[in-house]
Amino acid sequence: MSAPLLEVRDLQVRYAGTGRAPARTAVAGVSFDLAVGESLGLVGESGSGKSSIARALLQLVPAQGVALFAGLDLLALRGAALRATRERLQIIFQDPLAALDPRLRIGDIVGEPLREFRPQLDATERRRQSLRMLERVGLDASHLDRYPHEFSGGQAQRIAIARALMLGPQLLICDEPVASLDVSITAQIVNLLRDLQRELALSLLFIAHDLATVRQVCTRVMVLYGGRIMEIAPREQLYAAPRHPYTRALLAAVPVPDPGLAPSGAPNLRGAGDGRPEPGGCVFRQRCPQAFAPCKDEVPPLRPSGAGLCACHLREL
Amino acid sequence: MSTEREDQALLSVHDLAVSYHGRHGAVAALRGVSLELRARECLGVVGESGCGKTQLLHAVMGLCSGGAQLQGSVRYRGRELLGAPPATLAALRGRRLALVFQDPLSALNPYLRIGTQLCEGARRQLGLTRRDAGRRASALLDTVQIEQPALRLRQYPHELSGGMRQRVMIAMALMCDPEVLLLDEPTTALDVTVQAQVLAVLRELRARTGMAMIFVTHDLSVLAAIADRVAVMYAGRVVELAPAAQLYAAPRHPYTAGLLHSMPRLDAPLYERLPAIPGQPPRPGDDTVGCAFAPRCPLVHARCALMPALRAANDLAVGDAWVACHVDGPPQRLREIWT
Repeated sequence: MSAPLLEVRDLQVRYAGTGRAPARTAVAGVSFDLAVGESLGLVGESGSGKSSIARALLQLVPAQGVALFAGLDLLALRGAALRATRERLQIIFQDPLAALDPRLRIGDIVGEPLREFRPQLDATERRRQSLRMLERVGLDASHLDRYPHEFSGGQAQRIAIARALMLGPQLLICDEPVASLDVSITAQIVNLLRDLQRELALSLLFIAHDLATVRQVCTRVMVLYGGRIMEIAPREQLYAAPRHPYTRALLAAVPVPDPGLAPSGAPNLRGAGDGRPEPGGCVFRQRCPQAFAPCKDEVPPLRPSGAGLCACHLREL
Repeated sequence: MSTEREDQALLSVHDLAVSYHGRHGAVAALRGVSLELRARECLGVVGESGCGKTQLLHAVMGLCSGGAQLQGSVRYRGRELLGAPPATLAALRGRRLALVFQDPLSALNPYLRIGTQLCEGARRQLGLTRRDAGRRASALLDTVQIEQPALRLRQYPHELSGGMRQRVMIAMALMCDPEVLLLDEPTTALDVTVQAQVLAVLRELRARTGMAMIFVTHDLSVLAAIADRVAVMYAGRVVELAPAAQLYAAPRHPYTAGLLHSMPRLDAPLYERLPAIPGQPPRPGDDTVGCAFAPRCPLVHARCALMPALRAANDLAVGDAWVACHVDGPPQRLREIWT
C-alpha cells in the first residue's frame, strides 16, 4: 500500500476564551491517515470537533500537532509554500451562497483560481476551462454570465464544487456540503461528489452529521465526540457492527422513513448532554449507558477492534 | 361529505391561498390548500423550501405579514379565523392554538429569564398568579425532561443548549394547555440524538393527553416516528395526503415516491447511486401552469398541462388517501420509475 496522502498526528485545536466565556478545547489529540483516492467520513454532533479538524488543516484556526500532506506539514507552512498547497487541497462549505462573492459572475468565480495560479492563461482560455468544469458539475454556458443570487442552493453548491476542482486538487474537504440543501437536491449532490471522487481519484474528507449520507459517500468513517475519536472503522463494520456505545446511540437515533421501524422511546443515553463535561477519564462517560469505574479514571486509548479502532474500556472486557 | 367528520375536525382549512406582492407582481405562497386536523391526531406536513408549509401554519395562526393576501377559509371548531377581529385571534393564540417555531434562539427574548417568558402567556390568558404560573412552568419543564427546572427558570436563553431551548419552546406552547399544537420544523436545528429525545417527548405527550398536532418538516423520516397522517406539499399545494403507514409503504404521487427513494437511508441496501429527482423545486415566484411537478416527473403526460385536482386515490375502498396526479399509477410502477 502506498504512503497515505494525509497523515494527521495528535491534532489539537483550542479556542481562547473571550470575556466571560472560558477557553475551550475543540479537538483534543486526533490522529488518522487518509489514503489516495479514499473518502473518509467525519461524523459527530455539534461540539464534536469535526469542523475544527477541517479548519485546522487549512490553517483557518490555530492548531497544534502535525498534519503531513504529501510530505509537507500543513500546520507549519507559511507564505508561498502555504499558498502552493491551496492548489492541491480545497474545501467546500455548508452554505454555498455565502461562499460565493455576490458581485462576481459565475464564470469569474469559477475562473478565479486560474487567474491566481495560472497567470499565463488568457481570458479566453480561462473561460473555456471554466465552462468545461461547469459542464462537468451539471451546469452550462448559459450560467457563465449570471450572478450567485440567481441560483438555488443546489446549483450554488455545484458552482462551489467547480471552483474547488478548478486546479485539480488531490484532497477535497467537504464541510456539511448537503446539510442546507433540499431533500430532492441532496441526492443529486451526493451522486455528483461520488462520481467526481472516482473519476478524479480525489481523496475526500467528508464532514456530516447525517450518518445515512456518510454511508452513501464514504468507505471509512470516524466518529467524534468531545474532540476525540471514539471509533474509526470501515463502512461495512461501522454500520453493521458498531463497537462504541456512542456510535450505537448515534445510529439508533437516525430516523428511518418507515413508521413500522420508528423508535419507541428516547435514545439510550444518560442525561440530556446539557451539563459541563467533567475533566479526566472518557469524554463520553457522563452520557454513556454502560459507563463503569475505569471510565472515570483513565482516558481509553484508541485500540484495534475488528478492522477498525475503538476508544472504549468496555472493549477490554 | 359526512357531517360526522366535520364534527371531528378541530381545524379545517379550505382552499387556502396566500400571496404577496413582489417586485414582479404577485407571488403565490399557497395556491389552494384544503385539509383538516382531527381530534387527537398528529398530521404531518412535509415539503421542501418554498412549498408553503410554514405559510400554512402562519395563516392558521394569523401571523402572515401585513402585505399578505389571504383567500379561502380556516375554521377552528367551526369558527372562521380568516378575517376574524384581532381580539378573537389573540384570545385563541397560545390558549387554544399554540405554535412552536423552528429557531428557538430567535423566538426567545435574550433579555428575559426563561421563567418570565414561560409564564407571560399563562398569566395573561389564564389569569394565573406569578406563583401558580411558576409552579406550572416548573412542572412543564419536567414534562419535557429538563433537569433542575428551578435553576433553568432563573437562567437566560444563552445559558441553555439548543436542545434545551427547543424543549423550553415546547413547554411554553403547553403553558395554557392548548387543544392544538403547531410545530414548525421543531427538530431541524437539533443534533440527531437530541432530535430523538424531542420526538420522544412529543410522543409521550400525545400518549398522555391526546393533544392534536400539526408537525411541519422537510424530513419524511422524522414524520415516520410521529405522524398519523401525512400531507405532502409541492409548490403551494397538497399533492398527496394519506395515512402514514400507507404513504410510506405505497406512495401514490411520483413526487412522494421520488422523495422516499432519493433519501439515503440506513434501513435500505446501499445503492451505487441514489435515485435522485432531477431538476430544481420551483420558487414561490415561478409561474406554473398545470402540475408544478411535471418538469421533473418521469411519468409526465400531455394531461399534466392541466392542474390535477386532489382526489381520492382510485382503487382504495377506505377513501382516506388523496392524490393530485393525472397518472396515479399503481405503487409498483412508481417504485420502478425511481429505481
